[in-house]
Amino acid sequence: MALAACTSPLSNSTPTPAATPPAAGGQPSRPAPVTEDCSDLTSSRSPLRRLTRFEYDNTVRDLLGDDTRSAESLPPEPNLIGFDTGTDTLATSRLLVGMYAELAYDLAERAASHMPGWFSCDAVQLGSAVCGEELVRQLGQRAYRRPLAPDENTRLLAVFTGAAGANDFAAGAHALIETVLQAPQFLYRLELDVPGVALPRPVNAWQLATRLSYTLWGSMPDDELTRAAGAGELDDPAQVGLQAARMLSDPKARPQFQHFSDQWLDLTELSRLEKDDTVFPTYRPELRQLWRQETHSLLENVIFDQDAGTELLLTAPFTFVNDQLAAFYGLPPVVGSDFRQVAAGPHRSGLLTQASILASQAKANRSEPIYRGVFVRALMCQPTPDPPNNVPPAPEVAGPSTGRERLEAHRAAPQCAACHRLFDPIGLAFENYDGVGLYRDTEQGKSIDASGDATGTDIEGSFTGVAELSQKLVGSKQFHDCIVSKWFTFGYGRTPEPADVCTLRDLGQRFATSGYRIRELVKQLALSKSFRTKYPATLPEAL
Amino acid sequence: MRKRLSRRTVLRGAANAAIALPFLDAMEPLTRSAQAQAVKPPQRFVVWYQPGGAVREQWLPRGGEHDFVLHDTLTPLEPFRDKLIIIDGLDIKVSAIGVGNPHFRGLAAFLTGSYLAEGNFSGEDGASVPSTGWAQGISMDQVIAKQIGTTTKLPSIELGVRHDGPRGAHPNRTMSYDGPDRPRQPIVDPVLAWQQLFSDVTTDAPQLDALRSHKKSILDAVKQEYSAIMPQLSGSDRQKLQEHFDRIREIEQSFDTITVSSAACAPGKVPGATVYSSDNYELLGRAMMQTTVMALTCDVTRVVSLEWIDPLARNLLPFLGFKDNHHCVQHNCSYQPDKLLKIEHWYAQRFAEFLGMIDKVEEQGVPLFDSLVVYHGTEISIAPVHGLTDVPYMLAGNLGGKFRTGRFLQYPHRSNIDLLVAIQNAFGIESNTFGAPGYSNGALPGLS
Repeated sequence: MALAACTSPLSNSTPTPAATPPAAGGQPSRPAPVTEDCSDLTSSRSPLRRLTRFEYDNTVRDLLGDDTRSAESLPPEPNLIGFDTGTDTLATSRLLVGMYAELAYDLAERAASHMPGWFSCDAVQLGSAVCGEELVRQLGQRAYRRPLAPDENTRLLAVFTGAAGANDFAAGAHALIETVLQAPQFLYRLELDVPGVALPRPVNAWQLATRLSYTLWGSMPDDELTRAAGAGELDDPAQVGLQAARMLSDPKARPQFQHFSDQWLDLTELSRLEKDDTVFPTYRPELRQLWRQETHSLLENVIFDQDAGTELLLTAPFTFVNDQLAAFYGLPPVVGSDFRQVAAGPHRSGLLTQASILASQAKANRSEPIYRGVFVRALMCQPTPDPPNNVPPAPEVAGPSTGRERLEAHRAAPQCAACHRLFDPIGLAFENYDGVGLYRDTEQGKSIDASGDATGTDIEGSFTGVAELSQKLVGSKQFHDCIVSKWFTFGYGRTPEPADVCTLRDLGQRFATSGYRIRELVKQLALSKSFRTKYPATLPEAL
Repeated sequence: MRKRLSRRTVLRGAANAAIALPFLDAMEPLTRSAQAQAVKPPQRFVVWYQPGGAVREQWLPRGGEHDFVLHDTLTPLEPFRDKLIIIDGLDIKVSAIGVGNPHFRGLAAFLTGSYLAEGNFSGEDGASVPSTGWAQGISMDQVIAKQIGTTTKLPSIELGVRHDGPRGAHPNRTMSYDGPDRPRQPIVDPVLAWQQLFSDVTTDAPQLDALRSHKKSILDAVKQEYSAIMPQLSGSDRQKLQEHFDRIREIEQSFDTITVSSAACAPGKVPGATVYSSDNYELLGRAMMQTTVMALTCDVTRVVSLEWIDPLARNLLPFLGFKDNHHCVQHNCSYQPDKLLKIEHWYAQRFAEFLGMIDKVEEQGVPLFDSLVVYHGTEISIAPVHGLTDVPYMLAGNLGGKFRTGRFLQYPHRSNIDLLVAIQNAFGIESNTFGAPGYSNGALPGLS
């Protein structure tokens, strides 16, 4: 990461060394020294995982048939790693715990009167106690994602019986479900210590099934995966491969990949984007959801329907629109509000020319080359430093000006250029797309110059416009390594550390061999050795 | 709303034996009480944060300690001048250590008097180099909550006003802390705030009893699962579950609190679904201000903090007639003091509105204003250059005579922590220190 050149004489954000306090507990464990010997993977980490809101909602849908998605009301996860799966910031506030309790009560109430399809026991015929025992066993196993230990069975049965009394099955079920939804075995993906077995150790079949289902589906294992775990099939990597392939073809994988992509492409704020409709008269707030659906449709088509690689994603000559979106883009009119595939039209080719991204990386009333440049760098895992503290006000540019003219001051002043040359020239290549992603040839009556370069990345040479930039990204190792890194981060709940270099390198090679197919990448992620190994939660202090 | 005391509420004798009962007329449900025995209302602490400091020449009162003149930014506060102490000259000295951009540092120091440690949060633009962690100290609202909040349903509540809805915790949005690296997230949904604060006081006593009894039995069962599982985990995994377990216990303990509210406690019905947008920023703020005052009136808590957006202030304020967001006119889109004046004036109007709400509440003839103090501040002084000296602060309310209001005071080169120390002393916490060691000279003199 060549940021040495991006130091600014104005920067005073570095504290004086004598006054710098030691880094405090908020910082994740220090990584171990880098190992080049990839036969030894002892020094990685498996921090504790708790269900995210997205995972909680998917899980109660699969467990209880409840699709109200009520966990969305829980406090949002801190966004430390770019994804909601972050583990190092797992804080537990009283507010959160209280809300888990409220959620559990409401879900239990609904479920007790609509028992899920997998539970059929006629409590009227057979009696509350018999059905209660059966419910404890089945619900317990599904909710805890493994067979209950005898003491767990005993305790949960006592919960059921305490509420059911002689024959109130519904009351017993209510109390049981309410308890189970707040139990640590449900909320956390626990991988219990094995007496006498040191870490690292292979995870057991139930734990592997849980890791697989939450990574590929963001939800609990299904009956087939559970069966395979119970039958010992998951000890065989070939069988694991078959399950992973099955799961990636299952519809449940699609929302999980969309969930990843929304975070990968910085689209989570899309529904809250605000635009100035006096500057953009064709803009309406309803467009935001349509932009999102367009991008989701392209991703699904490329990744799942065609199982194609990143090249198609970046250069697709087609897209997906409905009547409103076609009108917005100025495409030939289509009829009906459902989305269908169309030719992308001139000036559009692939992901980076879609309005969802172009409008998100812009201001309310204009495009913003800085956001777009920083965004592309982020797609290549090239971080961009914060501005220094005492930035003086930018000089006013006289008269109506283009984006390029507005940013001229960054080029002219050496103390600005040091950093701005890393992202301004990338973003300026996007200037043919305005703040809501519509194409334009001119701005303020002046012809747009969309030439740019990506200094400091592995993209060589210059380019003009987003289509050329996208072509260059197709050949960029940094772009593809970054996708690997992002899926690792999302799947493991932490950014890669030096001890993960072997895993990442191996995955990168497999990704390349596959033709950069993202579905294959995720399958390989699930099959890698570190995926089925439990490491300590924290590393020992570095020597 | 009058809350009848049933037999269960008369001093249950649980762990919380020292239950304050300031509102004796609730104990005489059938007679209009002209209680001779006047009980002092409890102390309350309110925190008001708004972003971006102030354009100094527009904010700084003219004149002296008593004959000060409010102009430009502060004109809306004229009706409440005798309730205020306007404080100039304080520096955020602790910003000299730690990391983070100055906006974040200022927010950390505002309530914790501490610095930000290194960590993995980046600036708000996700691609920035990660650098920032959490503040390294407990915040003053939590210190005071431990002192005065042990008998109310909630020891404190943290509220926020956001145009963009709930966001994950981040040093940019956090001012309240339980301790180093332990952020408290504000609630920005008025519906959730209402439920947390008022669902109990609006529930019939017998129904509430039954609910609590049910919840307790479930939580007992849940705790048993935790107790059984924790020994099978080690290290940080076990610690995290222990933390979760401790929160469950706190909730169970809160079931024993008894809220005795005055006749003025009237939270109404739970609000309709919240709509977040820049257009609604003022409405959302109003809802949170009303929630704050009603929470105090109902005595469900005595410590409330209210955080308007956050230091990076990317909300638009379209009702002010321009389309740039707040941060933009601070410096991103070049410094525009005329627009800043409009924004700061608008915030002063909101504060005046808030003081007006407080002004309407009386408890047995004692104005609510006299039992509380509001600590009003911000994270920065001069936004375009990220200045952290001469940061503007105000106090409102006299806290039962602990503060002598109606004055404009200047404390050149004193630390902002000195004001926090003076506040903690006023609440009966005797310590002369707070926050990061070495960045305070003890309590500001002359406030009382």
